[in-house]
Amino acid sequence: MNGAELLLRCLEAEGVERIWGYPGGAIMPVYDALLDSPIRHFLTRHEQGAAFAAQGYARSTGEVGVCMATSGPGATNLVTGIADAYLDSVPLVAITGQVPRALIGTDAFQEVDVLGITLPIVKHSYLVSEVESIPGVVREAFATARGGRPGPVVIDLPKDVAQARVAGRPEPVVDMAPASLPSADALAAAAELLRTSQRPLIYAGGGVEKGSAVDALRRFVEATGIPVVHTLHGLGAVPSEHPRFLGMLGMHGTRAANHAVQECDLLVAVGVRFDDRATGKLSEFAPEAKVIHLDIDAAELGKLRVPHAAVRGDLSSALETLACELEIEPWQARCEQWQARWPWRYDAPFDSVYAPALLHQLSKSAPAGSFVVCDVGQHQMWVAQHWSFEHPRQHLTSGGLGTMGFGLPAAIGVQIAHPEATVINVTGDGSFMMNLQELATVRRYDLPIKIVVIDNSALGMVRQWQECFFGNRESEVDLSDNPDFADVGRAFGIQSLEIEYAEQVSAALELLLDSRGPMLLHVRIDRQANVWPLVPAGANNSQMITDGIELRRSACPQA
Amino acid sequence: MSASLALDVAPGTSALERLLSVVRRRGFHIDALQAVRASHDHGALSVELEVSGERSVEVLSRHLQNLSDCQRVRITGRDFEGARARRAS
Repeated sequence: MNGAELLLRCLEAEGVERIWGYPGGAIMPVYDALLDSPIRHFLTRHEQGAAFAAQGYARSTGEVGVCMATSGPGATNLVTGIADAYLDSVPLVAITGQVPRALIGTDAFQEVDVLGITLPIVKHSYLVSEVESIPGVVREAFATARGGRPGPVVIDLPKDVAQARVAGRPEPVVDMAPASLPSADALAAAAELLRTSQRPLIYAGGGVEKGSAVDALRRFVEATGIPVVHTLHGLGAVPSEHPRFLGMLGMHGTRAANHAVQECDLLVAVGVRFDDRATGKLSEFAPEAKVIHLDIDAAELGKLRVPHAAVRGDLSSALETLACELEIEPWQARCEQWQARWPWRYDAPFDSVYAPALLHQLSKSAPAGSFVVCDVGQHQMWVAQHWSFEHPRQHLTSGGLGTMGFGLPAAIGVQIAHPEATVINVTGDGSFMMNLQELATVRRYDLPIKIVVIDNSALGMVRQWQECFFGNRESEVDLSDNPDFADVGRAFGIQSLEIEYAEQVSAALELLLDSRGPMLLHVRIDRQANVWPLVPAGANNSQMITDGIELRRSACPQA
Repeated sequence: MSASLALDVAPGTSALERLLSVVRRRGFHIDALQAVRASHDHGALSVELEVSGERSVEVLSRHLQNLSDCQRVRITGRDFEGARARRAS
């Protein structure tokens, strides 16, 4: 066999059944070998789409996603997807073709130093210099991608290595070593903090799901009765309807969640990284709280906030050990009062579509087990605020990198991984245009994805910030020359519908969810719609602006 | 603050480049660097770094430890005069 065939045998041995990619010159030996492999390849219409589709598969299954591209522009088109996987700790193996070894460093056609370009955005990377090393490289790459804190790995394969003859075989797959157990000293320190706390609060993030600790967290909440706030990636770790759940914290968090953070005396931080969108002004974040920080990644402990107890290792084990009964009824009652005082309202007094109400209704109407895959911008925050989440794996969103264009291709990966599930891509008019070409992939594989384009004819989040913090001076945010998205959908052979008024919403959502194949719902909304509450950059989380009237007051205190 | 670190780095593609990239990105300046092939470990590099920065060197050492190529990372000194003098000049 040749190196390309050996590579595929190794991928098969790792359990890979699907690859997303796009062929080209330097990767052609692998594409030739694919014809004789049981691995199914899905052709996207842009390499970035392949990276995000592989991410969609990985994020929704917990397995390693695999994407593939040729050298040069093929590889650089993967870069945004690789960076996105790095920031959100998604297990991804990206395979890139490379020019033959003798041409590396000569500025050959479609040569780029993909290893160098991706160094800061991968867990590890390989330039395969000998065909015999392929089995070891693949084995290590998959173990690295899925082990500990997951992340992306790049395998750069020169064309002549892929073509070289070899008599190798895949290395045996070994079971993953279990995550290390937290130290007894750290757990004892954490237990003491819990025991003496009067106002504890759980601040849970994406690490809970990545660490397979969702069930353990839920048991911990039941045992202790501690109220919970989530980061964007934590949403669903405790179901949205749970009485102890106060909502998402941070820049677009709920008032109840942000008030609880600012007033708690103990923050139990589980699988979080104290991201600036969650903390607001870091020095004023949870100012009265001691901190227990639990994480699999030692580098997160003390990175931005020095904890009083740093618990490194398996989150499930730590949470099981720390679970205990607490007497915190006054604090629970206070949190319940905040929740009751500031419920979401959906009774918007106008004829046009109110996006939060539509998304809330869609969430309630979608079948159990549905996946929602967002893009980035206002619609992403409205989904985070108004969707009812059952499990974090069912909410896919680009949280760390915040990549517009993530949604549609990621939804493709989710739908391929879960062919029977309802997969809903909620996107904005700006984001949708960034990977619109993947509608062809939806059609090619007849994927019944439900696409909801929330169209305000603007880059809404940027426009909102220009309104709020740049004197309403709009700069390059107008998208009023958007195409008719329903016509675009039809051009790709996808059933499409456009709505503009609130009275059309119920019938449109029913049609969307009942459609057997893919469907695009184009929703026109008010251009001036904003996401509230909002914590301005540099402010602390108690300094929320809750609507436009309050914004004008804060800008003009004398008014 | 300044600190010195000693690292054992496995032979691998771009191992040194990867290590230096982490130091820079995590907010530290490299004031001195020495890398020699370790006599006891075929191909491995023994790296000594003097760094300065405002952030926690413990956190930096944990970031470095996360690299697949880094077999061992030790903080061997802190706030030494050599680094300060070099920065001042």
